[in-house]
Amino acid sequence: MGESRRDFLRKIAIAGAGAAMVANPFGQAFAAGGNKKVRIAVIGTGGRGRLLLEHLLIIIKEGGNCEISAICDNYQPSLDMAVKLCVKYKSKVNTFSDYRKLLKDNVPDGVVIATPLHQHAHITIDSMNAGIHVLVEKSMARTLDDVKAMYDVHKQTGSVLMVGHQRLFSKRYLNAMDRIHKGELGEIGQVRAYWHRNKNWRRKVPKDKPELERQINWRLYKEYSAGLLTELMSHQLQVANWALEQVPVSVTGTGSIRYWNDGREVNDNIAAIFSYADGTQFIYDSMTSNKKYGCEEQIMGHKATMELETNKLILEKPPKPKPAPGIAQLISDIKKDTFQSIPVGGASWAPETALKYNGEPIYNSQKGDGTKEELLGFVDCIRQGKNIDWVTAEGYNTSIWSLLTEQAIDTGQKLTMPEKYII
Amino acid sequence: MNSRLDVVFWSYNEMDNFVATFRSIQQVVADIELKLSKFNPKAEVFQLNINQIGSHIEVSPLVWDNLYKCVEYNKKTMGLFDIAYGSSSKESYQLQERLHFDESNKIIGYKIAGTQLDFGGIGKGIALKEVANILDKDGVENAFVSFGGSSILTRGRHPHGDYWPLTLTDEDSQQDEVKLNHHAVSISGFHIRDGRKESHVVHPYSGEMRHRHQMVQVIGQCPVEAEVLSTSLMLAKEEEQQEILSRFEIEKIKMVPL
Repeated sequence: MGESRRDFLRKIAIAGAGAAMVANPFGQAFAAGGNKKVRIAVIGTGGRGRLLLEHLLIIIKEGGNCEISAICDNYQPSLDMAVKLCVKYKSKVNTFSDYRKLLKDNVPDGVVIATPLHQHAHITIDSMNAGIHVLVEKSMARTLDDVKAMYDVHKQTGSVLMVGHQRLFSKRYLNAMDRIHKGELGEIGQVRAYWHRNKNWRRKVPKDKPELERQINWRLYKEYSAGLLTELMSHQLQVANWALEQVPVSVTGTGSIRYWNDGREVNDNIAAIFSYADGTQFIYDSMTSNKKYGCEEQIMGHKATMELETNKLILEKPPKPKPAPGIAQLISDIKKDTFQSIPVGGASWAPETALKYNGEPIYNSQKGDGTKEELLGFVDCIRQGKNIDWVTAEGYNTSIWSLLTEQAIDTGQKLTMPEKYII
Repeated sequence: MNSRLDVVFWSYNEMDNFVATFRSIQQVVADIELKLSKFNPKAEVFQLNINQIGSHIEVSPLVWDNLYKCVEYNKKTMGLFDIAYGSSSKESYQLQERLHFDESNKIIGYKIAGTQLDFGGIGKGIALKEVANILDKDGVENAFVSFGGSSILTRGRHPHGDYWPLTLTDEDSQQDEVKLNHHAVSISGFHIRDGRKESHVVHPYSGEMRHRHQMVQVIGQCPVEAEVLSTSLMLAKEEEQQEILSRFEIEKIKMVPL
């Protein structure tokens, strides 16, 4: 049922720098997809869930052969906002506050799970055991054992299991990875990434319901989340693994609550170093009290660097500047024994050309961050009953190593992956 | 100078060492840039621009000689060619009123507060004059040297003709071929940035960037004077143009009206 990374990349038809790609790569990835209308339910309609829901509603509006069968949240204000969104897109929808009832009564073809992290595992496992395909937001689960259990149930049931690393579906990232894997950057020595924000990550709790603090601000409590590691770093660790076509062999890290000392339990700044078998290092940091450097992944080879978030390729040896058009013509004329005028001063004439090299774009035709393409891919996977195994493995390994990073920070130890989690 | 330098040499003499000549050119251009830059803190012009009124800076012969020349050009162009500007566009001084040359010590200071020098309108001409000296010294007979396409120096001829054929085109694509041998060409016009025309010559009296011509192309012998003329004539009224032109020796001029 699976599909290899190479097959996927080949079918997705990435031709190289600046090459045009099809609007929906999965339209080509899965030929003759059939006409079945795919029924999708969204479980968890907080901020991320509503974003995913809106993407689905747009896909439907644009003629995507799917429908929203139901939405579910146990926090009524979030559910109400999601209903409003459906109304905006003229989509009738069933609502649930208990996902088990949704799975039993609505029986969708697939569920998109965007609940707090600690709820991912049991909802995912229950869904797959009910024969329902799953797109679960990253990271997969709060514990290593839950991540493994989700993967095992996916293998046992044959249900599609996709983890919400949307960069995997971004044409820019697909283009970049194809070029990286073909050696355009040379030997990669280091990958660096960071995600810096300057906000406290705390959401407003209704004054009359202080008991909702942990439910609403679940990202800040270790019972529910590993904070920056599972919510931000996991995206970029996945990119590093993807670029290197490896998983780490060890991780070490550190972290603290340095600035937002407001009762939260998760660190507000962290740093980690991942080592890979070939000697490559992935150096990562994240903080929430300074946003100057923003978010970036830097893939550094001996020939070039790619900065993926800002769409830049920077060659180690900048290309030699081409001569001005008139000079180029003069040189060509001399070589061809031709005697003709050298044009200067015309409309296309550029009198000043600075010798500054700021790199070049990797790929310019990607709109958005890949989330829409990810959802299109999920719908097509359901329609075909076909899992993309390496995409599942990317999500799995990233989740495992994100949680190992938490342990490394908490224990101060350099950790490797326990054998029982190796797939 | 924020500009590309293209050099084409040719010769039948295999003994000519064009690589060494080109390196000499690169070196002299870098040296001039280092002296005339208003952005590089090590440059003499930068140091002059941050100097206090009343104190003086020792300058190299290149800066000294060219500042002297600029005072002369300022007068010959009726003030339109001016490498100096002040802190306020309302104030207006002749260049000689702003500068104090201490002949005995070869030091220069500013007499007017807020004075700033900018060699942008003449720097490429100064560099091409030095390039010409290198070509002469190295015995290079045939060369086509271009600074960003707007400042050109030629020596000798094209390998397949008796001259270097240059077509000066304007917005309407009306072509006008000129035959260059031992010449300097300077072209001033709008800069095209993102498809838009941008003025870049500042009127020394009004402080406005208002061109009277779309393009001015000057062909002469001296690259410095070609630069001075192409810049100042962008701003000159008709009666001023004739007066200014009578004070310089040029071979050909083309002015494209707005």
